[in-house]
Amino acid sequence: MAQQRKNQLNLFNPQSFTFLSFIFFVILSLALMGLDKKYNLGSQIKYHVELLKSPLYVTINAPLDLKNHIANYFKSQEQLLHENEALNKKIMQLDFELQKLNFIKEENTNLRQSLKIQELKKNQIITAEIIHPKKINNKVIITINKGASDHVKLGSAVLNNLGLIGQIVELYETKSMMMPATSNKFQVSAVTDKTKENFILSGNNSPFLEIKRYPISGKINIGDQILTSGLDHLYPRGIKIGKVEKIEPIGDSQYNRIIIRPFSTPEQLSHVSIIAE
Amino acid sequence: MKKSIAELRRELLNLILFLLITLFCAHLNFEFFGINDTSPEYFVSFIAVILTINLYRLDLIKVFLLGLIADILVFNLLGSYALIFVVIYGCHYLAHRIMSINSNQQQLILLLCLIQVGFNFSYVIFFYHGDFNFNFLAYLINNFLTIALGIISFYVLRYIKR
Repeated sequence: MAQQRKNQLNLFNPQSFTFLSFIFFVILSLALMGLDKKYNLGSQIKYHVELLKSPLYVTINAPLDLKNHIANYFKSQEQLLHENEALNKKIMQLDFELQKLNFIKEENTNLRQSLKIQELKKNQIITAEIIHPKKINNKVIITINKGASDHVKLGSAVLNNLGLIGQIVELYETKSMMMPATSNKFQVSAVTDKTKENFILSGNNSPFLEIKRYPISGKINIGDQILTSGLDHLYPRGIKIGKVEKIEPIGDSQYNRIIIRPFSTPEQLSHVSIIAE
Repeated sequence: MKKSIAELRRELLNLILFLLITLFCAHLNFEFFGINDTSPEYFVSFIAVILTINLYRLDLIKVFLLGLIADILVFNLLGSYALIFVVIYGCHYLAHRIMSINSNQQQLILLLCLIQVGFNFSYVIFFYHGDFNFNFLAYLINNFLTIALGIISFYVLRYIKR
């Protein structure tokens, strides 16, 4: 009888459940949430756990990688020649653009020297690949295959050829996570291409960005392009963000709400560029 | 009736396997019915099912720790799933205190109730922290998917447990 008792584990004893312990764990959970929100308590733990999750990422990406490998392997010669021709044409176009840009750059440098304006900071661009999953537990978390070992910094701007798409919010050794510009935690200082007015642009978890309160007397029009202003010293000046889609009243006689459609969203991309100073 | 060590070990293995499958599913980007942001609450289904079928005799501390593990693994705010799990556990305990739940149907109803509690609680928490925008259609679909996943897991795990 004693031996039988020894072989049994008393792991669950419903009598041990007390209302007090329940309240204790509820308060503990709430306290943890508050502390994590304020002091980012879980980031160090998540940093170490990230390594353990590598097999999971490999497994999730395996079918897509395999599909890409097979597609590349079976590409016909005709397709490759066609692609090559298109790329050559693009190189020629870009060469021409580059010549113009070099001339403008030189002119700009001379003007800066004559007007004694400080030189713009030069930024290093790191090209990275977006890896799956793009959503974890129904929450958009974009994972990038470059991390601290590739000189990516926390807070770096993430963009592509169309414009700004987000910011690095979690940094690991070989990976990083970016917050899309449409996230409601995202804010950026911006200007329009025409009026050069400064304002704060923020995401709202919808496919759009918004200026929450924009004065009625302002000069923004539908179709205006929005660019980063560089005032936050986080994003370089002049990166395209989006286009004004709608101007809607908010029930305040002094202000309107401006809806901006971003030029691109990370969900549609496979490669991005990260700006590292 | 107390379980033997061998039985508990087997159940622990099943629990870990179930947790890993849940984690894997939570990382997949399934979009149901072509609508954005539609995905079941995998972890709510997970805890509701293992509590309902009493897969591995869990107590409050273990449920809390499981919640913390889930938070860390899915990059949630630390403590959010822990709170959801503790609340589900509390409801499960309360249901067993005031009712006698023995038959398959009774367990299924309890499972549905636990899923509803956990699902709505998770929506409140994640919405409060601004993790997503509320979309009523997505809410209904996610609720339905979570229930469906819970029922499927319930029968699969009952079969494995046997």
